[in-house]
Amino acid sequence: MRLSHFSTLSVLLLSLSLLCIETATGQTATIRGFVTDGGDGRPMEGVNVVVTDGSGDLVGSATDADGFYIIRRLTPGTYSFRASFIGYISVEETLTLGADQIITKNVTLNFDEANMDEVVVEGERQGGGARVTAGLQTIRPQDMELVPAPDVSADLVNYLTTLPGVVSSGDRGGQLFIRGGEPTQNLVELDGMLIYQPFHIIGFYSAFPADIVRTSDVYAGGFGAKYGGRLSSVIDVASRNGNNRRFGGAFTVAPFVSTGLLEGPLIRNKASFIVSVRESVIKQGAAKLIDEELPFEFGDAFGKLHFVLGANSQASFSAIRTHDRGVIGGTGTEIDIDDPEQQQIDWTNTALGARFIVLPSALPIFAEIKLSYSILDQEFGIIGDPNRTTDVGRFNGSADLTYFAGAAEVGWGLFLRTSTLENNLGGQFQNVTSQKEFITEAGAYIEPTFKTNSGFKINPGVRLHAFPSKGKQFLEPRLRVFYETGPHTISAASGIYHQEIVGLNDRRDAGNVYTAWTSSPLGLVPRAIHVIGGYQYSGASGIDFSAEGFYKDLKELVIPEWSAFPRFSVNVQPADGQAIGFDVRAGYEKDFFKGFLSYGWSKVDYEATGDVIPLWFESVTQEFSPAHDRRHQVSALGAVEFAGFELSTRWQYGSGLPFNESVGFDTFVLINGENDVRTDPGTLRVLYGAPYTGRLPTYHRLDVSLNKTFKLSGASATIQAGAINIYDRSNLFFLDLFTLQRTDQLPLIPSLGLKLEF
Amino acid sequence: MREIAVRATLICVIGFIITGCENSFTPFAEKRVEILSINGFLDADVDTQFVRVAIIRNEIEQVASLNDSLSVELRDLNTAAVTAMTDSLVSLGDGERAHLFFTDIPILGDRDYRITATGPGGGTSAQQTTVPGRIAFARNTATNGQGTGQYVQTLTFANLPLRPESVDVVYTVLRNGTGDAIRVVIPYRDLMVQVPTISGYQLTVRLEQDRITVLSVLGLPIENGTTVLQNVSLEYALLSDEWRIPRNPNRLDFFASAASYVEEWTLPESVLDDMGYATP
Repeated sequence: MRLSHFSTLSVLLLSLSLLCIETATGQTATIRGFVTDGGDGRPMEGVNVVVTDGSGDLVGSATDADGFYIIRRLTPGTYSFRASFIGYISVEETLTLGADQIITKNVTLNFDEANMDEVVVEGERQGGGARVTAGLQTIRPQDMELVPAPDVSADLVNYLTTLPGVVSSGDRGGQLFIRGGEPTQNLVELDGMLIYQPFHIIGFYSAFPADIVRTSDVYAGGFGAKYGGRLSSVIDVASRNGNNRRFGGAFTVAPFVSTGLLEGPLIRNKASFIVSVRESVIKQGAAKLIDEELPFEFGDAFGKLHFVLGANSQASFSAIRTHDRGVIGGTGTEIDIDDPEQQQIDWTNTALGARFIVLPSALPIFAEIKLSYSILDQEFGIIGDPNRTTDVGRFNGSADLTYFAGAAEVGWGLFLRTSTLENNLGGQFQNVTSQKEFITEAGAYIEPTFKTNSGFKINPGVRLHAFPSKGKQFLEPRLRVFYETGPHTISAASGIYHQEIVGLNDRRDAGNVYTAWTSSPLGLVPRAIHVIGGYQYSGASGIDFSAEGFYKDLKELVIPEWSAFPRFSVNVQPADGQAIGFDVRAGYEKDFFKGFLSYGWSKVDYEATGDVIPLWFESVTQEFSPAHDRRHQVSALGAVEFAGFELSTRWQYGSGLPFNESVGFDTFVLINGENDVRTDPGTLRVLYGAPYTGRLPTYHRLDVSLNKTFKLSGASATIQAGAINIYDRSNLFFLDLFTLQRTDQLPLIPSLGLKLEF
Repeated sequence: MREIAVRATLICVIGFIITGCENSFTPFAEKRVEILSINGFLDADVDTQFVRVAIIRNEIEQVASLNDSLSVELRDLNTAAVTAMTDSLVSLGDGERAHLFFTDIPILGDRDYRITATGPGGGTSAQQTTVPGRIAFARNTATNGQGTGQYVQTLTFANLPLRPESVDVVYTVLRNGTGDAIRVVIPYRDLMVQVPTISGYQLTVRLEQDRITVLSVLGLPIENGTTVLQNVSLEYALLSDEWRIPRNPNRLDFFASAASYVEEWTLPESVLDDMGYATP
């Protein structure tokens, strides 16, 4: 059976290769190429490229995020070629195509000074709205900039937390739960590089500032066969290229972070660089504003080189490093992360990657080859002498190809990965081995897309994901379906997913985000089935609406064993689960206003099985709502322009998250041969009733920012004034049951920031 | 229109400020049931068993609740015999007082015991333990081998999931001339080797090497040939599975059991002669 999986996919891939060869010898012609912005050399997405033959028949295509377009199956002859984008001067040319000819026609569009306003409008039209289809939402920097933040620069995570299916651990900890999934079940990649722990310790920041992001595809579920190895979601971030025409940069100063960005040509029109650095200044900034210790420190640095190697090929090299450290579950002036005795969490992501885009001259194929190496170093405990450590690394080599065959596109690819996983658990998970592991993964996928003239698009796929070093392999069918008619789109997605390399975290303690990465223990391999169905309306009147329902069936999860009191050492145990819910989102965008209102309802249930459950609950299984089961979530976001200012507001509401209610206290005498129950007073402890029976208070908060940009000679300055948690809601994050001392999310923090761009 | 949007925003902000302050929260369950915690262990090697039972406190600062109606029974699940344990109040190291229940019934190995505490409100808490029984082990004949030219003897414990708490090899010797029996105890626990193929442990007793230790304890030179080895024994103490963290602490209670056993054997005279022991 296992061999037959390989055989099936091999036959498919071989057939595809033969098909490619066959088609290349057909009697039609192809035009393809990249469209770039003449101002900065960066790829332009959404450009209309059309060809018209002598009889007036028109065939066209739109560029993708790489600026790539392809028009196939053209009868040999003479065509009028036109590439156009609102606000840019169209490029028109006459082309003569011969039989079997594949022409690469790269185009540079230049800004139309006479229509500057239109360009601004068009650029902004890329943001906002409710473009959610089959679990996918594409987020652009313009979207991120709508969300108020205590910083002049926007960040991807700020936008993600406005999505109705995304539950955040709040301002502390950097944990995102997407439609019922755990943070370690999210696949997060930047330019194909895996980022293990991408969200900074303060909830407003991630490894992805808007200034370096080109697009971010967020699949809340139902993702296609191109992606695998994770159970819940995919966040696929593509960075932008540096300006290859002129040098530029930006610097910001704000209470939480200061940033710097430089970009420019290495070889004009051929090669560019972009470098971005951010460092937190919380101690010097925000903490002083509120006279409260905010024990967090973080930063990130990103760099990218991009080369146009020729008309048919491009290469880019990216590198990123992030660092975070802090105390998540505590507050007060006594906490100092520079104190050598202070227990704290500390993690660093490092990743290097290369991406090559090749258009083979004889084939209608878009080929993408990626190589990357990603590392996560994580420590919990005292600096220099941590109790727990994690060192993981992954090399990835992959080739993704898209073959264009008339109305159909066939995506397929191969990948090979090796991971090293090493955890020193310090006794936290008793039945998980701490030895160093080497895991090899290899596989392939095929994912054709069929379109009909009546608006149907069907995107079936299958992925074979094998772990030769563990003797395991999984065949995962996927399906994504779309039907578009006028402004209406109906979409659905489904698939089977496995996750062999898992992150273990004890969520009973909200203040502990230490995560061990290991091959799935207990001989289990977590798996999920996703089912998504949705409707989207995108009206010309500026109104967008989307509604989507989802169901995730989760099997063989590995979670910490329940215990009736807080305990450091636990076993892990198997659990099944399910997440069900729906999101509704309405957006409006017109002239000076844009915004949206979203509501999400979801329900997440786990059913744990384990040796000790009958001991405690006198039943074989135990059902409970895990710590991230937020039932209701509302987000309202609005941006208004007036008198040259831009006012952005964001209000968030979330119903209470589950927590372990206490039933009282007792003293225990550990049986270790040294304690005597006749005399030993024992150790005081808090006792819980059953898992997560309580609910924390509701969470809500309003953030506001006001921006004003001034044009300077060859530069611009943006001043931002704002405040987070403007009505100073005390949103509970963590409560010490012994002292009843609260750790709240961030209080009202005013901010004033300055950004200089040149 | 623009003014309306700005005003609406301001109204919302003011509304949120007014309503945003409510935040009462208690981390404690509304319905508190009577819960009792049990701490202690049954020890088959002692005459009196003690367990401490407490009613859990509602608040952290609360003094431990004492109540005469608290009762504890110990049931032998193999015989269904029930023993009511006797209550006593003791002062602990921190000055607090606590209920200590005791009984002098014999605790036997390979038996299952359940202890049930009942509070004044009728709430009960029960715990259960299996007192470890004697381990079956295979003992090969002493051989002069393993390339050392010295006598050793291998003991094999199959299906032993947990390393015993203590394992000692005891040599009972007679000092020639006095006739006094002397026990020399040599710890062997750390020398036990886990053997996955038998899911248990193996122990190689170094008979000839141990003789040097025995003579050393007796204050005799190695050349001494007058000491009589009466027998060799294995003395081991076993703990129930609940001692293994986190097995036991997964329940509310810390309740477990322990027992000790002795296995004796004699060595052939030829072996004793070869090693230099005297024959009585």
